[in-house]
Amino acid sequence: MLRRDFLLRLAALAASPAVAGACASDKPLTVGIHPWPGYEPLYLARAFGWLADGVQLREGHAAGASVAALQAGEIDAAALTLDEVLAVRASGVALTVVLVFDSSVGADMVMARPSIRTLADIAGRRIAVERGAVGEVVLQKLLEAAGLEEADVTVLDIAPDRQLDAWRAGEVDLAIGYEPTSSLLGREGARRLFDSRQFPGVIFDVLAVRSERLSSRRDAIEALLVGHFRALAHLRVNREDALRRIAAWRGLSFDEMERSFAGLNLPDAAGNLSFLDMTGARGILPAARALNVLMLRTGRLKVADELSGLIDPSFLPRNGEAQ
Amino acid sequence: MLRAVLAALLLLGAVAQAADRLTLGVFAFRPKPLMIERYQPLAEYLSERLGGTRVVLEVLEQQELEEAVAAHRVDLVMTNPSHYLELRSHNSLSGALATVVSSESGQAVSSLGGCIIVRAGRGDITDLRDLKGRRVAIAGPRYLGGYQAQAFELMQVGIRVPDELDLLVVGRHDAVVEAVLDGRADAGFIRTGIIESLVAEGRLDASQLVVLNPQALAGYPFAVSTRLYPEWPFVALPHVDRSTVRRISTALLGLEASHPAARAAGIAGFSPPLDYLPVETLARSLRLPPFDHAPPFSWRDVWTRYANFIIAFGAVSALVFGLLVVLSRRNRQLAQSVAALVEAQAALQRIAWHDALTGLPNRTLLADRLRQDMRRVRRNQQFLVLAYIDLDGFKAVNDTHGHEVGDRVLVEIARRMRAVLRDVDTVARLGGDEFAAIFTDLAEASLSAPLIERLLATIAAPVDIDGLSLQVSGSIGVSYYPQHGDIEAEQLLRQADHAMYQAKLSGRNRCCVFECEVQPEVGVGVTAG
Repeated sequence: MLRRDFLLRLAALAASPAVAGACASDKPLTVGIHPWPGYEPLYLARAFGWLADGVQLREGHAAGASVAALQAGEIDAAALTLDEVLAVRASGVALTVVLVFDSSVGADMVMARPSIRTLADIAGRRIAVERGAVGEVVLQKLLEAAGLEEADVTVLDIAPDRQLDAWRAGEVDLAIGYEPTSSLLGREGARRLFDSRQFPGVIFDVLAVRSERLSSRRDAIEALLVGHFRALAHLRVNREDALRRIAAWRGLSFDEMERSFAGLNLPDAAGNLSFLDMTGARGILPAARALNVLMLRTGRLKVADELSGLIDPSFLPRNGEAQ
Repeated sequence: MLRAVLAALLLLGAVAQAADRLTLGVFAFRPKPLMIERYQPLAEYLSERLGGTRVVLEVLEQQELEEAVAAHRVDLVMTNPSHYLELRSHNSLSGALATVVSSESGQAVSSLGGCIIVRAGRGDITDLRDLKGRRVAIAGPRYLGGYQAQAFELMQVGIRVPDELDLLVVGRHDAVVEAVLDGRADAGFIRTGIIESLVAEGRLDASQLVVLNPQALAGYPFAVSTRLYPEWPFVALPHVDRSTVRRISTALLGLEASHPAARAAGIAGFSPPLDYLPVETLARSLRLPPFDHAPPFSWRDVWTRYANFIIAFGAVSALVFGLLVVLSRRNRQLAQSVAALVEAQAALQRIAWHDALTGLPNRTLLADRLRQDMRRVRRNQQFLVLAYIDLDGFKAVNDTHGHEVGDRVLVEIARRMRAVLRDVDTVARLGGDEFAAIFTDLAEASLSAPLIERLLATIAAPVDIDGLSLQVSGSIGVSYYPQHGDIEAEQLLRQADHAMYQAKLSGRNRCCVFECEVQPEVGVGVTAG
């Protein structure tokens, strides 16, 4: 159902590095995770042995698995998009964002038939988007920018992994998705009409922790973040080594991997501090307010999230500890 | 005039020569003739692109290259990244102008790594950990891809390098491969791309070697056992002027992979310089040059680094010292308390075992002493005599002169009785006007007779109280120990008590022995007084 599960499905799913059996002795911090470029530093950290012993990644194919495990109380934390966090909170599971993996600056995009040259041209067209996922946010922003209502277009619930077939069958005029689908559509002649660069600071991928476990798992959460930032530094200064490793375990080429990262900002510890700004002037809180409006409009939220306890920057490493 | 022109020409020539000729020093990581063959076209390409300036190639061993850089005999340098860091720290080299992009089967890469090779078929070395204590051939410890990258990976699995390896330094990568193939070494460290080059040159059959710890890296065209590091940098020494540096950079970045110079060097050209921080981190963690010397150590450094620890330690020490002081003070107080308690207990014992008015032992202490004396005389085959003493006429003194005067009479008589007794004897007040005396350690029972006589006499002597002369007398009952058969202290006392009544009945101021009829002589003698 949800975003960000696509790379893995496309990749020749190598013998999955088994969801490690429970390390029963001292109950590790379990983190739900699924393939998405922004989350790759955590996989990198695990590959280099930089994850603390008290941290266990629980891999799923899609965010849906993490959401279900959170709701069942099986995991302590999960890597999710911010709108998914709001949806889970609305379902009664209190979550707090302690880390921003990435913000989307172009990674989420709208591919269109060549005949569609301007935003005004989308009126009356058929748009493929995955309902109940981050694509809905892009759709709302697209309609806003075009000055249209949802009734002015035909919205089809088609997830990115099925968009190429729908495109080839001529069923859609526009497709809302992300890499590598977007490049595949580009080969079919589609061109990029609109992307998240036009509304930066709305789509975030974050680490959300069950709020009631924040204090009891503080040490493990801090250790997890230290491992993440160490891997992020490796990705930054030794990009070729990092990208070739990631590409190898996703079954993608080096160039495809580079493209997957192209539309993402990956904030370091200092960048995270400004995203997790408690004053609400910038970062996650304004984004969540904007998502409240969008998600109420589309019915993903029945009532607005009051956003209390949504972020907690106190787990971020203090200066200099990230390396 | 002619001379002036010639001088001007000469001067011009000298300047021109300095500007017209740049020496490119390249580190010889492969045999020198091969290196010259590969890099000469690059030098020519640069000469061509720089117009009037000729670029001359010099292929140098590591040591030669260092000396040339130090003496500024080279202007441009290509060497491996860790060597570059070392040169830079000694010679204030600038940052890299560009990073080599190498090429293999159509793949362009700007990163190198290390390869760990063993001869095919060696089942005993399949894992990094199997290398512990093995003989390992290396070109030299200063090769990034030929030693340092591998050393870092071994460190990650807990093998200390070089301590836990038996290193065989053979000078060049080609020689490492030979050493592994001919069995002189169990394993070898070479940089990425060497195997592929040797295979391409027809000098190696790839199936003869196995690469240990292979890394899964998408699209990386070389076998590799370690993480990757940026490829060789191209560096200009600081004395090369800036416009020349700019033109060299342009020429390097503009070199197409298809250009003969690139093809000869086996590279795909140059990329904008990469970040050499990973190499620096590696060198630091392995304590390699230029990070092989510990920085000078000062107390200030210690303070800067451990201030919190030192403060905490000081605070804890002060706390412990303070607690020790408190503890010793409490200890002293406790000792004093114990002494006071012992004293109080002694006082209590005195009170418990003595008569408050006369200070004589009371009935309890008498019974205790009697038992002890009985045991002793029995053991020593001696005798003891117990005398039960009741004052005659004391009630009249009390009734006539009051209890206070009576008490003073009792105190005076008690003092006198104690005075006439020997040290070993005991006299106790049993209550009211009743006393008891133990005469012990007697060789004969009869020896007690004079003592009892003295007792009767001292009791009967008048007592002066505030001008009053008061007189009482004593009736004494006596029992002996040992007797026929066993007898208890209480029984002995009862016998003496009984005899005392006999004395009372017989007329007072006398002594009566239990069973008087058996030993009449004692009673008779005393009665006379």
